[in-house]
Amino acid sequence: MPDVSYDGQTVSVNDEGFFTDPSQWTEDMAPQIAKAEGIDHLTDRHWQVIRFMRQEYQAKGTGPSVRALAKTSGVPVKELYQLFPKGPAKLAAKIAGIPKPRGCI
Amino acid sequence: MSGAIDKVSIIVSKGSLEGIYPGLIMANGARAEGIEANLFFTFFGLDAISKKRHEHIKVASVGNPGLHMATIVGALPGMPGLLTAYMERKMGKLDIPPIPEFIEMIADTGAGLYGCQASCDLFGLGKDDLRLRASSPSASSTPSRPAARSSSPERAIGNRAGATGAILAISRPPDRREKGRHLYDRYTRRGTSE
Repeated sequence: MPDVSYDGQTVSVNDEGFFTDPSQWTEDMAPQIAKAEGIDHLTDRHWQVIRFMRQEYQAKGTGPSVRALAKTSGVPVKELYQLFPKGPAKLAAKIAGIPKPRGCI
Repeated sequence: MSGAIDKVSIIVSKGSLEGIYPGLIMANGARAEGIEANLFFTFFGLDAISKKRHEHIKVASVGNPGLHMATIVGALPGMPGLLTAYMERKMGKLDIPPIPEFIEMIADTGAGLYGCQASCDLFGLGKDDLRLRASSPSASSTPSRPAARSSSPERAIGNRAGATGAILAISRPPDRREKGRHLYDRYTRRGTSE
């Protein structure tokens, strides 16, 4: 399991780049991870989704799938795909430092 | 060539619940992984996007070995409805949306939705019989691809007007038109409500 460095700190990630230990994540790391994934600038809407994903992970132990994300975060599916073009649930989870969500819906 | 898949095209040709859902789930899954997806509805798959039938899709209760149920039992009146209600209840608990809502969701993700022109002719279906996104005046004239990467002006208008999910009919090859003409006449004689 490789280690990468974000914001000057070393964190461990799995083969796909997801954090193996979500507690190592800080908010300052998010823009760097996002840039590596092709999102240059995180707007308030991006942050709304990222913070929501963290909350869900902390409350339920797993990140939400796209549909759950759209229903409960207040950001509709269409906008999610505009904010995170290559798959919102997966990308937002990576940027938020939580493991990949389980569901496919 | 990295081996990663860029685009998938999925054909939905069955009109049963268990025949329609897998295609929709795969298209949704592809989009969630950032893969482009096209859904092509043909033959009985058109039921999934037909205004008249899209809320009445049932599980096939006869000739369905996967049910592990005796044919006689499956043929009882009311059986399809019973099985469908059971399946829908279970899917609701897993937050799997019903077909009409699912298709809207998939359209929102930027997947392309296409209806088969040949099948439409076969069943006597016109553009009004199929689901188009409500209220936008440009919905009937714009192509179906709502993806943000579209470059032509009609698609951009469709995108801004929210006309996702508009069904684009594909033209069929000319020789089939001649062969199928007698069938076409027979079916249209029964009226478009068939």
